[in-house]
Amino acid sequence: MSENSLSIFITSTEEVVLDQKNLRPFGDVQFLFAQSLSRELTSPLVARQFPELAALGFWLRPANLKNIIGKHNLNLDVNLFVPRGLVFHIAPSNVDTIFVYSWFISLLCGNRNLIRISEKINSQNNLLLDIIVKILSKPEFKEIAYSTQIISYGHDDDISKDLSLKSDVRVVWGGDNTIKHFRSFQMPPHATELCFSNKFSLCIIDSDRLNRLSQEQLLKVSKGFYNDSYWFGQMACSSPRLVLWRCCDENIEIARENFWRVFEEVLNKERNFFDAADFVNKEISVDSLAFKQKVKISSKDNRLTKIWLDKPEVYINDHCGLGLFHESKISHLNDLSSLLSRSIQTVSYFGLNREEVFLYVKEQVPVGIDRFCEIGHALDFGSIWDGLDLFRSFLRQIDFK
Amino acid sequence: MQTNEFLNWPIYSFSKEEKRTRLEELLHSLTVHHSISCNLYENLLAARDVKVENKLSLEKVPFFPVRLFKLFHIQSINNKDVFKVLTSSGTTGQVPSKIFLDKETSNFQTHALVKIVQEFLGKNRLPMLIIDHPNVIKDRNNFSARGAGILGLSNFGREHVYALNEDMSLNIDAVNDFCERHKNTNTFVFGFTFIIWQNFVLELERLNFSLNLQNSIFLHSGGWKKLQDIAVDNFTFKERLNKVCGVKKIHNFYGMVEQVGSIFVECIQGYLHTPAFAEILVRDPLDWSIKPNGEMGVVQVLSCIPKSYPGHSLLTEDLGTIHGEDNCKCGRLGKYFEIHGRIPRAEVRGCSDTQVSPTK
Repeated sequence: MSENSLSIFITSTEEVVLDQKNLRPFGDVQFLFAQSLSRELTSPLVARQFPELAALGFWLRPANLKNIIGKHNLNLDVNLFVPRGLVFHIAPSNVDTIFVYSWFISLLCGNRNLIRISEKINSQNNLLLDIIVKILSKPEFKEIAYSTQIISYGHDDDISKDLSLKSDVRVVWGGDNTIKHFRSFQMPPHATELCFSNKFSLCIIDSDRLNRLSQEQLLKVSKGFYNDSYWFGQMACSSPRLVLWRCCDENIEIARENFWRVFEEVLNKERNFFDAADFVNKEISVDSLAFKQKVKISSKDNRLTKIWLDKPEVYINDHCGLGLFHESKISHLNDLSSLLSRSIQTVSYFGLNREEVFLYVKEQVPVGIDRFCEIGHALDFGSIWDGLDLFRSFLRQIDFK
Repeated sequence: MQTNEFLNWPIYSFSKEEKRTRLEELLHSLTVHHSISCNLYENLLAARDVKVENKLSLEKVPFFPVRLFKLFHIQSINNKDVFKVLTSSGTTGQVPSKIFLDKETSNFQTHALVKIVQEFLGKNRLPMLIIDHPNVIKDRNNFSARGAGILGLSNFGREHVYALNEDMSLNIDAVNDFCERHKNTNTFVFGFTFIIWQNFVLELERLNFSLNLQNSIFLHSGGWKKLQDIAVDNFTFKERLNKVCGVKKIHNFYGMVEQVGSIFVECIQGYLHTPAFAEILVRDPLDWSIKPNGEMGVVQVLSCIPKSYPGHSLLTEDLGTIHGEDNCKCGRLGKYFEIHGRIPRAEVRGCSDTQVSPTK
């Protein structure tokens, strides 16, 4: 490791991590560690100040983890699963907790982990790492401590090159430029890579079904939509940026009017997290699109801006979140096909059912969409992410016949 | 109304109502003109459902962010009529703004600037000291904002002398010579705010040297950010500058490449003043509503000059406060204000490489 590397949180050294044996998949020590960490993160003191850490702590409950593992059909008595070995994680620069999900699944699978985090220090990052280091310094977690290194270094390609050559799996949590950059660093021939590239997400609302909702139900959907969109300032890749209204003309107008009216009430009750720079940036994004395309802009105040598109389009480069929704209409799910690419990740919805979605996917074989979920759940982390089964990605299966 | 009539207006003598009537008229004709001549602008107005037939009040004239001049070629003239393209290289080496001028608008800019500067320097060309080094304007094809500023204002001076050497050290001989030769006449000094501070004031203090520039007028621009970072405010700047060279007339000014010609110059009370053919509005970023006097907001600038490009109503990325109108103690009519600096974090948010993954 070059002198420039900054091991902020020394849980172990590279040499030790490299020499260690892998852990057992789904071993007791990993669940005990998860439990310890979960308890700390959901403690009132932490949870109140950092709801993101609380959510992570909630996810880390051993019962929850075992439930997820069960759903993935990973019974070790039925099939032979072993860890892949050394996993090199590159966390994104601006989300604090995401690396822990990825690291944890990898750890549960028995891998040794080298995690590179951003140099950007903030209080949430600091606290999380403090807690992790504190727990891992306990003797009962020695095995995990020896299998883990969390580091941070500037743009040092030599380090990235070196670590890539030693890894069995490399995980790059975006964006596109970082992925391109890391792809230039070779890995051993057997190694695999998980890359989470820039994504764009949609929301589909069935106007008819929305119109049949009671005020109370509509309010619930609105609140779900708010959580999906405004958490992280609409910068999360799963937050909807294009809203598609399904059905016929008059019903759409009524549905839209009601939906946004109730949504504005929800929005007004919430604190505003945007600042002047955000509002200016959004104006630039909105006006850029308006310069180029024939659209209709609607906004009462800068916290919510809507742009109506005559024809549905994904304007991925003219959208920067910050409380902006492109809108259009479709008459049938099949109309989605022309919009799709591998950049389309989440389709949150109201008023779709399993049958029609399954029929659509089976018949149309769409080239995009990584997941469908109900409004309110767009930001739920799932162990199947961007079309990848994380557990399967961190395990290798030994076939026996 | 003739589009160039504004060049004959008295710079600081229109009252609120006199100015408003005239501005609204001219800005309306510019809005109509640009909506016909510039596709991008027409699309924007249509998207916002703005009906150009109706004359709009000052506050309702459509505006868009200056940064769009970095992202698009926005012009209301044919390519064959392009006479000059102004660019501003951002301080961080980002994409520059491109402003397309025809002969007419370029002339408007020059005349407008002359009228404003003459209010402070008088009608004669004065001997000029430039607080910068001679190579700043050498490469005529590759102007930085600094070079362009110096070249533009050089027209107001004669017998130009550069105060700094190429390595930015003080050319004490040249400066001494200038002061000696012109000690009995009025002189004009121009430089960028931070350079005046760092390479002139601090340097003279270090050398324990003082000059005689008592009869000079200093015009300076470039923003206060770097000085704010070292805790030097306008008051300190003026005081120390006066101490090293005796100058009493020190005028900061605010302007931008997207609206060349209409500069806002500081009066003796320390406020920036709007000339008759330009206006300033301060808006609440939450909903773009107009902030009352005394309250800080995002600055919008309006100008009668931009005819070859729709730059007559622009939202800046600066924060400012309007302190009053028509009643500044310096005697000038019109709005007077201060600029606080850039909106914090006003860089483009990561749409490309810093997308956020959720963690719920």
